[in-house]
Amino acid sequence: MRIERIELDGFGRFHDETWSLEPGLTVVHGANEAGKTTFMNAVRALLFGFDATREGRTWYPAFAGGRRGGRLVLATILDERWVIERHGERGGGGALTVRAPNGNQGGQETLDRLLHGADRDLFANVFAFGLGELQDLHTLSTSGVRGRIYGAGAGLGGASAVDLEKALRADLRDMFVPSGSKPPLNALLSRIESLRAEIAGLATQPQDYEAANAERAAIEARILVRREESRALRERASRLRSLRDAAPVLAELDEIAVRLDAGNAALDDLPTDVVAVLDRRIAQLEAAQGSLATIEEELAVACRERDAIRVDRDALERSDEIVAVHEAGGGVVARGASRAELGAGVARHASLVDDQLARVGGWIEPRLLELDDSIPSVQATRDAEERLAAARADAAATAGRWQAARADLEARETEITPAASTDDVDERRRTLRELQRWRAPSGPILGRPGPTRTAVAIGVALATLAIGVALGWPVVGVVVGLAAGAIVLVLPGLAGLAPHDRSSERAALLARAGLPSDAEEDAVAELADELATARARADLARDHAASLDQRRAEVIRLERARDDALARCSEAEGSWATWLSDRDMPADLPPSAAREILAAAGVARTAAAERERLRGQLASLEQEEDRHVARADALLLGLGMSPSADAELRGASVTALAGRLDRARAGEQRLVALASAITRLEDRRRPAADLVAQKTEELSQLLGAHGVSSADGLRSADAAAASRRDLQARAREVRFHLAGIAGSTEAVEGLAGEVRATDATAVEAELADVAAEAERLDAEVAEAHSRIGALAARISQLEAAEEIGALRQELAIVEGSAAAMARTWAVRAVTLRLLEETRHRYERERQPDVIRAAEAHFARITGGRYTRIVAPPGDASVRVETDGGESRVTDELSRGTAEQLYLALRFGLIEEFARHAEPLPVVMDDILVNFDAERAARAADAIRDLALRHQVLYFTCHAWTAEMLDPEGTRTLALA
Amino acid sequence: MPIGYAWRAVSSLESFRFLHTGDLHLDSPLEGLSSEAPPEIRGTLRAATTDAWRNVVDLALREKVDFVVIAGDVFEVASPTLLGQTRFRDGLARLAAANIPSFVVHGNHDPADGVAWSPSLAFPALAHRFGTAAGESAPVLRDGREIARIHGRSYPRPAVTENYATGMRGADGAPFNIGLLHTNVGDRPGHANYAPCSLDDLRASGMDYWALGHIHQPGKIVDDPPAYYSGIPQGRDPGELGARGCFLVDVDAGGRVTASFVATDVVRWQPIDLPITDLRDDEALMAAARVAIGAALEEADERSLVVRLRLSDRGPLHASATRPGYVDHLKLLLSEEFDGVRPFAWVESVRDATRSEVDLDVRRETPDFVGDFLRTVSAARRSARSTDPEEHARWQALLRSSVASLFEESPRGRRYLRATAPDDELLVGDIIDDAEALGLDLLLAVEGDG
Repeated sequence: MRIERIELDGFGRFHDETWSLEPGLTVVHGANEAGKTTFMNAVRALLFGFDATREGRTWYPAFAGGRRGGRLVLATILDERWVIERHGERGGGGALTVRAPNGNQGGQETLDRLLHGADRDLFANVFAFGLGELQDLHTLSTSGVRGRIYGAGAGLGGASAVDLEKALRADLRDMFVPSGSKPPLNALLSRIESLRAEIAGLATQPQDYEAANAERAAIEARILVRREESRALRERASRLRSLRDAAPVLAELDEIAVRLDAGNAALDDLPTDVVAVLDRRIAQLEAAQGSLATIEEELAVACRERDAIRVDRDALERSDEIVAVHEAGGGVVARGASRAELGAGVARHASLVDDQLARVGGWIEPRLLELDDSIPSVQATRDAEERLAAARADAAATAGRWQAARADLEARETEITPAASTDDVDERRRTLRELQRWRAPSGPILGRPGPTRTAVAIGVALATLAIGVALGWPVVGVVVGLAAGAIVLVLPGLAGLAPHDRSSERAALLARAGLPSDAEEDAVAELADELATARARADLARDHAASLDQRRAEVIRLERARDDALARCSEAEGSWATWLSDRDMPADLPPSAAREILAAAGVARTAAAERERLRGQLASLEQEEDRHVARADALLLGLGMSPSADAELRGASVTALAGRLDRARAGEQRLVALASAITRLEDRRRPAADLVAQKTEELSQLLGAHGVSSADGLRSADAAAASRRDLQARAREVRFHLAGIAGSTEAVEGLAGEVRATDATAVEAELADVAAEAERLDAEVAEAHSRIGALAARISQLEAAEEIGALRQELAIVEGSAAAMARTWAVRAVTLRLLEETRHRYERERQPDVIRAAEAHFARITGGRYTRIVAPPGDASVRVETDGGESRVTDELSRGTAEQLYLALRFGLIEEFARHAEPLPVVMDDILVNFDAERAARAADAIRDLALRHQVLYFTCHAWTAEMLDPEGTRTLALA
Repeated sequence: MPIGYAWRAVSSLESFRFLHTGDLHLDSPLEGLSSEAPPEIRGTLRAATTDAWRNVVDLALREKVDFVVIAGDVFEVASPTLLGQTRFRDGLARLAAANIPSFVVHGNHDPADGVAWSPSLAFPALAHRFGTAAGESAPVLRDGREIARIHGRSYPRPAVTENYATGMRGADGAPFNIGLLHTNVGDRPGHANYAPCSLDDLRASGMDYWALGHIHQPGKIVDDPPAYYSGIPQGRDPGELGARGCFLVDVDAGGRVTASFVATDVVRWQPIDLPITDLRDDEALMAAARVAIGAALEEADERSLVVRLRLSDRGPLHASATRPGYVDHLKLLLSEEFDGVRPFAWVESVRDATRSEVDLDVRRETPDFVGDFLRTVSAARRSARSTDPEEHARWQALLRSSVASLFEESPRGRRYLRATAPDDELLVGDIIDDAEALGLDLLLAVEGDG
């Protein structure tokens, strides 16, 4: 593989630079700072990405311009072209595109494959090196470089065993790192640790459970003891409370006994209901007395009322009359209202009749009321109206049409002149036609009209047309114009018919035509035109005369039609005048006005009839009112009341009379009722008086039985007996209470004795002590119960606790997962170790090939001074031996010799790589500067040799080096 | 299903039925899960042992047994939980409420040293716990008549090396003698050899039935007298596969014993091996996995399954299977596939054990880097059997050092991955096999790229 072209868009000092490179050796020569190292590093960067400086700055920024990066065109041994393009502003891979020969694009993976796994380290140390790399042997012994070199030969393609190892290491790291926490296996191990700790924390549950049970048992035992103590205290407190409570009760009992002994024991026999009996007897007596008094009161009232009643006998006697007049008086008001209403109706209808008379004007009522306003009569006015209107309109229209026709005729008669005679013209035209026939020798051949004649014909036609239009006959103008034009065109031809040999005849004809005998053809033609025009005018005048005759006939016809219409009109007006005179109406009255009068007559007749009917009703009402007044006045006088002329006062008097009759009737009825009541009351008074006497006797007997004279005395005795009974009841209550305190009736005596023997203050003090102690015990027991509740909850919780089981299950799962992952890890770790072992073995076995190749190069460069290189497997040190067997380690070699050894080793490695993979380009940066001239020349030979199989780019700032490598200078590229 | 039968002439015997269980290991976690289950499934797994015990009690009540014997290891001394003990006591109380007495001995996981058993938990009167002294027996009464006599002895401490069986003798006057013991009969490998005894010891005991505990695999170990391990009611780790439960034992009037195994487990471990030989693509793999899991569910007797899927063999899918994340995605897809199915089939893990189709023998002889790698692996394997101590030590050191950073140098790794840390045998065994496959896959992939 070789670099065919380098294109740098921007890199350090380079901007938009392109270099094409040949296969084999290219010496790039330039002064210091010309950019050789930049060039080499650009190749590295395009292949492997951009570096940053140690300080982190951008390495080779594109300070000359452009985007940092560019393209490499690589040619393979199969002559395929691959383009690697890379750009980037910072360190790292940047934007990489690898374009394959088939146009496909790839990335880093494609590039790795293309470079057979060669990476930056390998390339920098083996294939593209300067003095710095050359002087360092260690760079050759790193496993990366070795692995790549041998990996390429291991038949493993682009990825070497080193890549596999790297991937496996990454896998292992992804699973577990010795001091990490994030990888899954580390996380699982951490989880195992924390789960175990949690489980250990919960492992005391059984002990907790036992402790809780033990504590509960102890508390329950203590509660039993406390309960017993509490019971004893409660008993003592109860006894003390009995003593305390019994003391006042006993004192009260003693006091009651003293009071009973001091009272009258005989009162104990007095019946408890004696006062009730007394009260009942008194109440019965008072009830009997009350009843008697009531009857007597009612009797007196009835008698007084009877005596006070006076009855109006006069009114009662004329009661029928009063009722009749009073009932008739109710109609007075209604009649008054009817009369007013009827009067208003009469006035309204009289007014309506007057309105109709005023509407027609000049008519009296009887004449208007007689007028026939029937439907046929009204229809007759409408028919007359229509007939009159039609006859008048027809007369006006026919008169208008006659006037118009006559005016039109008169106007035309003044405009049109009479037609002249055309005989002479016709004669002369016949002559001219003959002349034109003479001019033609044989057959009627019409000459072709020339341009002049055509123009003349058009002119004649147009002139004729203009005349027609000016005269108001445009159609005639067109016809005559066309005819005249045609004549102008034809006549000269006709004129040409006359042969020369008949000139005399022609002259005669000319004379007949009114032309001189020598008149030319043009004159003939001109005359023909004139004659044609005259003839056309004559025809036109004749047409006009005929038209006027027709119009005169039309005027006459229209005049007759007008006269007929006027006659019809007169007939209609005469008929209407007759209709009016029949009804004694003015002769000039139009039908519509007559219709108006008929309508007024109808309305007036209806109103007059209604007015007369209402007047009759009004008269009847007034007669009835007069009769009622006479009857009322007579009755009032008969009963001592004054009549009145005023209808309203009379009505009031009649109403008062009716009231007087009602009162007289009521008084009479009340007298009858009172007589009956008085009889019943007198029947009830006798037994009531007997009952009062009986109850008075019974009361006296009761008082006498208990030795008292009055009711109050009996009541005092009863109060004293009740007081004694209360004391006795209280004594029983107190004894019952005492039995309750003592616990039983039997225990009362004992308790009473104990109370009387103890001091109340001492009892109170002891009771307080006992209560306090009991309270303390109760609190202790309650607290113990509370604790037992808590312990029971804890015990239940512990019995049902699933956490520890759940944690153990989780631990089992985590341990299982960790074990599975650890096994996977172990398989990968062993695989890695086996791969490493295999690779080391492969390197050991392959190394002699590299060393042998290096030995040959070293011997060549040193001119055979050193013939052997020894590089023990696994040892980074290298020894060299001279042909004579002298052995030296690298530290013992001169700087130049050591660099020659390293160069030889690199050549060996390059060739080893190329044995299994496509040879890569080799880039060297002034590596010969420390070689002496002889060895430098030999090294140059070796480089040229290498260039036969590899593309070699050699950068130098020394002209002698360039010349040594390329004596012809044909392969040297100068960098400015 | 009757799986045992024996006969003994006892004239005064009444027929009866009892339930034989043991190794409940209540409230202990399910071990060996290598991934987190969805919450609902996690709840089921978490409660599996206590739910299985509830199933045992339900079975006893449903079958109206005359009594229940429990052959030790009710809990784990290393992780006693009150919840487990409470559940156990509640179960015994339910039995007692149905007038079913229960008989319990302590085993190595719950010795009667007062640590595992909370003295405060009150057991019902009908529950009898045997003490640690030899010669204790308890009669089983029905209507006032003894129908059987139970002989039992509890462990006083976790590790009992004494032969308890020889000290347990059937009583001559008892209608039917049952020996109840937590023991390793015949020094079974893979189990702690506690209270060891031999089959002859059992035969010579004069018992009519041996109700044994300690071995979690249920089954009969001797015919005369019939001796059964009840097994564990709920498998607790991937090693305890298949149906787990207890024995329902019928004894007829002639003393003939018929023992029927009844599954009481809630969830089962289900390893599924899926060879990829004939599977062309991912779809085919999914379909095959679906069918295999579905078939397992069908056969699981209405139990839920914890499925461990192992892709094996060689086939075209090998390259896919080795891709990072492939098996995780497969696990996810299968989990989604069976999500919501009840009983559930939870795919706990998918392991890729497939191998490249490359002929290793041919490739090993090829003089290239891949050949070198395979030869290196062979050399490492051979070193385990090498007579050259230097070579052996070199490889041992090389392999050990490769994993040392995790298993030895990391304090947490050393502490918590002790059980997982590969020993020399494993390193040159399973681990190196997988490493060879992985390395080969990686190299072939790179070679393919090249």
